[in-house]
Amino acid sequence: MKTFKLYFLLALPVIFLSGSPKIEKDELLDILIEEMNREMDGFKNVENPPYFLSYLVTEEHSSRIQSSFGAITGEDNNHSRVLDIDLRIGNYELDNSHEIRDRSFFGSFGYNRTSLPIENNDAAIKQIIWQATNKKYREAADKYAKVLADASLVVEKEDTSADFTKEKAYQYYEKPLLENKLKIDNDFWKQKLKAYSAVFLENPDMLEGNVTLTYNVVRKTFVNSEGSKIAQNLVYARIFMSGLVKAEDGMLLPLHKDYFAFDVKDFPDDETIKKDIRLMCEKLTALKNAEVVEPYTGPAILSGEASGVFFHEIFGHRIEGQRQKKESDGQTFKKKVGENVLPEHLSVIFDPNLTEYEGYFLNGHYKYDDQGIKAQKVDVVKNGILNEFLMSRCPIEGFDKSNGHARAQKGYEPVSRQSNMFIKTNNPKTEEDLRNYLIEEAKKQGLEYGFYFKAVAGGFTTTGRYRPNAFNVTPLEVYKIYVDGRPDELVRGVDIIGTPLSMFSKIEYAANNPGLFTGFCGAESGRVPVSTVSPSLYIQQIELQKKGKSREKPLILERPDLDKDGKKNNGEL
Amino acid sequence: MKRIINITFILLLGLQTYAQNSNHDAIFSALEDELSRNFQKLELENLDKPCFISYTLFDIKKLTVSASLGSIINSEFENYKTGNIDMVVGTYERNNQNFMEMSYTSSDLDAEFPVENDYDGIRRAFWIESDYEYKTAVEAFEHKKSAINQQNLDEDFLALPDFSNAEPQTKIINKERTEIKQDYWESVSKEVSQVLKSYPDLFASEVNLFQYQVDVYYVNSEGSKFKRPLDVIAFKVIAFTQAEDGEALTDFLLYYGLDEKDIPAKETLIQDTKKMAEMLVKLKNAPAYDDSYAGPVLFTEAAAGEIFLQNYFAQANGIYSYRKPVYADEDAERFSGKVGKLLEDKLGRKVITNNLSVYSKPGLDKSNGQTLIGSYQIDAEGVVPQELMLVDKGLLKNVLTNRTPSESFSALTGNENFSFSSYYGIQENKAPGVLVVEPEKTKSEKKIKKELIKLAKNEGLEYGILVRKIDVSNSGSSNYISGNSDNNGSKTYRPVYIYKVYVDDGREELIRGAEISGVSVSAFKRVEAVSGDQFVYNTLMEKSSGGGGFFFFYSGFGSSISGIPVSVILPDQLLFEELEISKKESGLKLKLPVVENPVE
Repeated sequence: MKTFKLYFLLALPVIFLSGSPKIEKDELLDILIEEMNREMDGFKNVENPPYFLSYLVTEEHSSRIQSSFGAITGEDNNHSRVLDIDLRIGNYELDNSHEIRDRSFFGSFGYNRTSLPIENNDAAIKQIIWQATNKKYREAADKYAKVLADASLVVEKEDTSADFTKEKAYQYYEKPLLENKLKIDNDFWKQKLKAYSAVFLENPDMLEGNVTLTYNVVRKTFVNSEGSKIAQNLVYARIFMSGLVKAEDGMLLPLHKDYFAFDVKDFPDDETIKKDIRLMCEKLTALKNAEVVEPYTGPAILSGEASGVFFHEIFGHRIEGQRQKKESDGQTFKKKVGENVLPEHLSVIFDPNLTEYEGYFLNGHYKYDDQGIKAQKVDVVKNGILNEFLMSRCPIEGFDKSNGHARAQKGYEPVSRQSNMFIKTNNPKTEEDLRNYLIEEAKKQGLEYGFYFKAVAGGFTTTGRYRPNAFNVTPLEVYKIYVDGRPDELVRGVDIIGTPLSMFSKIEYAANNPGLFTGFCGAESGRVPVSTVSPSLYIQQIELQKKGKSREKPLILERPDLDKDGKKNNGEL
Repeated sequence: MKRIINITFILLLGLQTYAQNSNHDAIFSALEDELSRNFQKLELENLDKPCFISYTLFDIKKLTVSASLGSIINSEFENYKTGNIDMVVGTYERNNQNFMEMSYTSSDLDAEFPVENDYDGIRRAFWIESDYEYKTAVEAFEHKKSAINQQNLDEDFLALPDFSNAEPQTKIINKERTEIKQDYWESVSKEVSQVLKSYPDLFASEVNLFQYQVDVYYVNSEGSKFKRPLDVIAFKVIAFTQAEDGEALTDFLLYYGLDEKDIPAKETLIQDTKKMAEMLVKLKNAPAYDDSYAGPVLFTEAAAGEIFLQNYFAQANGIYSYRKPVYADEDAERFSGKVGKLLEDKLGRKVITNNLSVYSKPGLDKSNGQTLIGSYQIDAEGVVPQELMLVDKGLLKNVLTNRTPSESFSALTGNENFSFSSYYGIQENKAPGVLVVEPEKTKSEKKIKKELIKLAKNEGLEYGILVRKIDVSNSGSSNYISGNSDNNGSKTYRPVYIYKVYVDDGREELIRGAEISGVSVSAFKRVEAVSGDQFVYNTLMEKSSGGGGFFFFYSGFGSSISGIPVSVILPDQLLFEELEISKKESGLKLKLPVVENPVE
């Protein structure tokens, strides 16, 4: 990953001085503002008029090419615009977003997609926005009545903060990207992807060998009734490679690798990618024949990549602001501000403004969040002490401003979510040190070995109040580190599990080697891109549980290209 | 030296022949090689082997365009392949088929079908799928054997074979096509949708174009092999508004065909759209129905075609053979729901007015120059369909079948058809292709209207009822949207255009907010009069499998199409002796928008 070049900003932002916002003539922006003003005006005389209205249009040019074992298996090119509306009735203190005791049978699905024309046609866009705003207004008015009724029926909430933060208006404008930035040369990339995925054919164990390229150019145009006007561009280019083998006992063993960049020209060269695929295939064959591990508790080392996912699950989701308010949430850290929550040598920072870090491109980058608030650097934990939360415009006790972390997949309501997370230590150790700590601890606990988690697929966690708070991280590549100096041994068949609070105190040391994880995080507001940068961590005690596995036997027949008897027509056509 | 040259020459010739032989050779070779390998070798210890395998490969080109008020919302062209496998383990007499259990299975591995005609890629996809299908089939068969051992099943029922023999067929139909024209349809969709900008009384509108060009490749272990087209094109205009009292009103235009030539020219589409918009505005201002009615009802054109299909072919108990499955347990039986009374059991008895006969003519591809989208030459199981008399002057003579024999029918009519589904790709379902409904005695349009008035008068009614259009706008045609069955199989329909025809002077008054109920096979036995003019009704028919279960459909403007291509040629007027009309009860009445329509 270090082979990546430095990233230069794709479009020069034009930032306007307050007082005389000289936003360039942008047809879509004008249409949105006109319709927003017309709606606010039209609702003026109703009993409960909206006090706030915002429109966010996410325009996306996306290309996706899939290949498998040397053949193209899918190609999509799409251009779409999706509208998201925030309409609020009441006031900043109490509005329709207020949490109520929800007794509706189906609950509410967060997803509501309104597609808009991809051309700047005044009438067509406005009519669809009008119908969608009307629907949103009816829902908001209905919900607001329930909020008022609930206030008389239900005991007072633990958190009595307001419902919506007061913020200044932001104005920020980037020109739309040039036409040649919106698309990639599909034919060129198809040839490349075929060549990449054909490498999987070299290994007879492979059941799946896929390489997928996605290229998304996103333009977000945001307006609100407080005067914010924002237009920003975001580009995501990704090559995702996945291989899969099946062990004799039926266990499916996948490995993934991805390259993330802001421009397709920044991907590694062909040879590097092919080499990485060969390496993946070798590891998969080794995994297929690897020993299955029994449940275990004891010391472990997590690579930077694995630590990032581990932190994202056990820690990151618990410092998302609105969870501290939700009556059904565990609120692990709500009352811990100013207290030690992590070992003293660790700090945790979120910064969506950064596009790259030590040569890594960061997937969790944006300039303004999905509520139109400027992205801000947040020092969540400083030297082990909890400082603040990731905030959207949903205030919580003691925090009445957003720090630009409201995020959502298009079609979902934004809530506070993670961006680019950095785990830092002020007492860095070498990797060798971590190994020595592990071996020492394993010996002390009377264990034959400890574990090293090199690569992980992802994880999940629960933060609710009514079920035990737990997390699960799914490792892909795990090694036993023997205390007697035998070489490390690749093993399979375990997940890392645990309860978050007990984990924090077990994180003993961090190394001096930051590693990156780029991926997507799925939660209430959909799927959002995130990155983590973390050093390797030495954890004094970790718990491993057996991985669920398929009960299906291995495939009965050989892969057809390997079965020489099976070719009646020789297939040489 | 000479020899070498000769060999080279032959090789070159060979290659050339292949190139001329069109691109389907690689596909068929891959299908045949992989099928024969799997048929010979798929086996697990102590379990049954396959006795029949078929592979179907769909080579799909698909265009979806949507536009509103002159602008494109979405336009997407897709090109991909997908496949389907029928895996039968055991013997033709007794196998894994016709068995119902509550189980959830999903494949460990995803079959990745190549976009191009890649020999190895196609084989890999079918290899992965066959392994999964075989394991699922042997497991189901073991469960079925066990269920049979635990249940006291009728001997005749058990003696019934699970799968019919069929003659191997070879049929290669290379359809000559014009390429899908994305730019053209974008421009037509824009222009047609633009028309609706002049109607500020309409609150929302959309134009959709869907086009599929599909080549189906099929091989089976009996030696059958076919290639055939499965094309359809649909152009849809849909508009929405609300009446003053809040009632939601939707009107639509729906044109079906096999290719772009079958869709009217842009000018016609524009004219039709204007007419539709004007009608919808009239409807918005029409009086809401506030009465109850039982008496004669006249259905015309598409409304007549739709209710005919829904009552005789849209359910498993229609004019089809029905094979009762072996149920794994009580839960499986309960969940499967009741199929309802089978028409199959009424063989030789009256199922429709004696004035009508019904024929299945799948080979018929045109009627008075109009394309019949349901026409086909070979069905999804490789059976060549036969022309068949289904109903002779009201009496049921035959039913449509596939390769699963029922208690009364084992003859193959070749009616396993392909069905488009927005969620599951292309599936199979027993269905007609082309139906012809022929009357014995007909009346002119004028006389039928007189008859309607006469019947209404006889009942002491102030008016009769005329239905010109019913709502099938949410999909090809679905009874779960426009019509809901009650326990007796009688259906309720939501009309779009329904009129009172006054008995005193014959004037027609458009009304809204009415529902039609009592439409059933019994009602069809008492159709009083039909016209001599034929109407061709092309549709994508949604067919439900049973009575119960859950049905999930996309509401709102259509983003996809689904159903089985079916064509019906029938009299364009059907006068029912008695149906019921009442005030519409379904659907919430929402308030009108607070803010004015931005389109003025």
